[in-house]
Amino acid sequence: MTDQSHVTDEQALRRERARNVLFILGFLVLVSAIAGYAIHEGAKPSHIALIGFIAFSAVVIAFAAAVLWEIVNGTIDLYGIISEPADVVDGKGKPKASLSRFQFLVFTFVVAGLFLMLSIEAGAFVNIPNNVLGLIGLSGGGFIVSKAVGQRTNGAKKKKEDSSTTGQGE
Amino acid sequence: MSTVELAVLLEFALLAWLGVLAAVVAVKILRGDVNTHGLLTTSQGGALDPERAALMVATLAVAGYYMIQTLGTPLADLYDEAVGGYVLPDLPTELLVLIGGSQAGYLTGKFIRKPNGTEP
Repeated sequence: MTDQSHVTDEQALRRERARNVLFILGFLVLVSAIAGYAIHEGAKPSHIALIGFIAFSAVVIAFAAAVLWEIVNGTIDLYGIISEPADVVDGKGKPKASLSRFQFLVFTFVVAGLFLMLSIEAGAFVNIPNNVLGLIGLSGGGFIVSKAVGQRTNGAKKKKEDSSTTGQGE
Repeated sequence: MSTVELAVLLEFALLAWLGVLAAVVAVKILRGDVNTHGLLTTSQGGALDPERAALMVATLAVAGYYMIQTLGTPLADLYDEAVGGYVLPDLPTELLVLIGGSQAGYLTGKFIRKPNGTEP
């Protein structure tokens, strides 16, 4: 029984490897065909740069879309995106959400979104005023201090639990 | 199509991606797919902590104000000759102080209030 499953696993692994090799070969043939066609047609370096940029953009967009799709269908779990570490729990034993993480998330989305939008509109990167940088810094600093306080409190709780367990044992 | 036009198209795609990501996160928070348990409490019987509520309100107010201010300003008004380029609108110092004050209150509360099980 174990031998049979071992053989099946090995066959599946070989099949997957063969599929990967075929995919790589197919990809190389496609790239060579495009390059051959471009040389045959007398393509200029600017055309080749454009084709390369399109290919690069397609890969980046596909990657971004895949991440978004995984988030939407739940493969990338966002349950703990604003939660404290797993060992910081409330009185009922549930993981606790963190207000400073939430704040950091909100400010990041707002500032990054506006920066990107105005950069597109202006056609160049826009400058960020000191007060806005201060806001992000304040939020980040608050997050770090909050994390440190949370760990200190959690450490004190564990210490108390340990001492009560030792006391019971004695 | 030139490389510059393609770059602009890519920037739009990035902006759209960021917008959809923000929307997905917002929907997931509203649907309860993101843990928000204890966001406004310090786990002491689930009572609302005023300093947490204040920070939450200040955060949403400042984020909303800044978004409305930026979207309502024409691009031409954002050009700064001294810098020689476009600059995001400045955030009033009062709002920075508001966030700093609420943040300080929140951290003090977090430091003083002890979750269940750590009280002497």
